[in-house]
Parts: sequence; structure tokens; C-alpha cells
Amino acid sequence: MPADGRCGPGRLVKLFAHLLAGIAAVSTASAVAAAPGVASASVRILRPIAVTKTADLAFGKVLPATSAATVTIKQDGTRLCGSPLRCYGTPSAGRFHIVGSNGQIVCITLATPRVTLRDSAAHTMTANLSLSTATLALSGGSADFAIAGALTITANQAEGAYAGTYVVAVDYP
Amino acid sequence: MTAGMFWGKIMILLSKKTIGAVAAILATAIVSPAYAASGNGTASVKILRAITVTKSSDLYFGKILPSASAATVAVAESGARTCGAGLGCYDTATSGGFHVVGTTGEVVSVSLDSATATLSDGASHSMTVNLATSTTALTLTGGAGDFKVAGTLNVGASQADGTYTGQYSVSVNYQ
Repeated sequence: MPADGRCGPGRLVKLFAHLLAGIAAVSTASAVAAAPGVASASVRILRPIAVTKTADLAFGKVLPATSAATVTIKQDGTRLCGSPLRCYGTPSAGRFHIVGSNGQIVCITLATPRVTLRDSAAHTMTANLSLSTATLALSGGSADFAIAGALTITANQAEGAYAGTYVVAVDYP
Repeated sequence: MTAGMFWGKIMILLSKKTIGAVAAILATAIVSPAYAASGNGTASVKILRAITVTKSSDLYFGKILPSASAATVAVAESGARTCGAGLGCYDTATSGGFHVVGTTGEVVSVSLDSATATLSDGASHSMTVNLATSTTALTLTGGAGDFKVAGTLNVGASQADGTYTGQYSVSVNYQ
């Protein structure tokens, strides 16, 4: 649960509360319909959120060793190559671009914090993913966030090109 | 059936319908809020095979008859030999050759660990060789590749006769 309390599982409960309050308001409205008065009604129309991947999470090329070790990609895209592994190629953090209503806060969740990478011959590895932020303000109507990852390379990991898909969800609180 | 019972039944039906409608609204709101979005990303890594390098041929300058002045013998990557003025060259020369095995399609860097090597006859006589390779990067098509090493041997004036040998090393690495 983020510090601001606006994102996370708790918001479903809030949604219930809002709906129930709305139902209650409708059902009691008729009781005061005859009385004169002034009231204001407001609504904030939100723009649907669009999420676009701008970069894949790339661990690069790794020469495995006789002992297991971890390759870490930080949110800025830099790589930490665990000893005694050797790393080559160009690493990259995962990156996404969000477009939505200007000034709104959005909540970001990683639907798959653990992703399995597979090659074409049923060999697998597991990467643990993490978000650069769980909440983001859409300044100017858009914002970007990054995905970092830690990949455990087992001893003598089989040669091959491994890939796996992960899902991020972005929502208004 | 009385009128009261009739109205009672209507009331029950309306209530059931209302509950159903509220349940539907809640379900819609929770399962798929229309304003949310998700994105897919790919995580990838390429696991490489350890490189092996095998010498396929030695750099061999052949047999040389020295002269009263210093001169050079050059062996090109093709194996062609250029015998310096005044020298006599015999036997068939060969360039150095290496066979590299690694991950298919990868480009590896190739370098000589030292640009020179010293040949000795074991009796404190020596000559130096300048080494060179035109290969700086090698694509492992089909998981393998080959490269050659050329050399230029500096034969001293009246170089002592004998069999001279020396070693050199190359480095091959992923990039």
C-alpha cells in the first residue's frame, strides 16, 4: 500500500462505499424534492488511460558459470553482473509511457512481479520485477515509469534466447 | 387470490429486479473499470556458450639460410611468404590459424595479446616476430569461425643455425 493511500486494494472498498452512498442519496432525494434549495453538482470527466511500452527489459547477453548468480537491471537501465558471470550486449530497463487526464494521479501495479523466461527448448529462468513507482502524477497529461529486474542465472544455464511477458496495469485511484 | 396478495407479489418481483441491477453495476465497476489500461512488456536475455579457441595451424616461416646482413621473412595470412633480400627460404610456410566455437550468430572480438613474440633456439639465440591479424571481429556463422595470424620474422646477420620456437596467444571474447 503506497504512502498516499490512494492506490492499492483498498480502493475497491472505497468504490463500494461510493456506490452505496450514491444509492442512498437517490433513495432519499424524493423525500426532500418538494423543499426549495440550492445545490451544486460536479463531475470530473477522465480521459481513458493509454499505456505504451517504450522499451523492453533487456538483460543483454550473459555467459553463465559453474555457480548460480544474478544479473540485475536497475531502473536507469544500468546492469550489475553478478560474479562470476560475464555480461555482454546492451541492457535496458523496461519503460512505459502513460497518457491520461492532465494532473491526475494514477496507480501502477505489476500484475506479474515474477516472470518466467523461456527458450525454445523448455529451459526456464525466473526474473523478479519491480516498479520505479506505484503512483504517478500525469503532469501535462502524461508520464513515464520504468521496470527494474533481477534475473537468476543458474549454474551452467543452457545456451539460448530466453524471453517472457509481463503485464503492468495503470488505473485512476 | 385477493387483491392484497396480488400487490404483494408485484412488490417482491420489483425488489428482486432492483437487487439484480445493483449487483450488475457493482460487478461491472469492479471487474473492468473502463478507464484503466494495461501494457505488456517483454523481459529477455541471451545465454551464451563459452567460447573455445583451437589452434588449427602454427605460424611457420620454413627453413631459412641467413646472410651477412639482417633481413626479414614475412608470412602473410594467406600463407604466402616474402623472403628478404639476401636470404634463402625453403620448405612451405604457413600462417597461424585459429578455430573459434561459440554461440551461433554472435560477433566476437579477436586480438593478439602481444604484437611481438620471441623465438629461441634453447641456446640463448633468439629472433623476434612481429605479429598481425586483419581480423578484429568475427561472426560465428553456424556457431564457428576462423581467423589467421601473419608474421614478420627479423633474421639477424649470420643468425646462428638451429630450430627456433616461441609462443604467442590470442584473445577472443563476446562483445
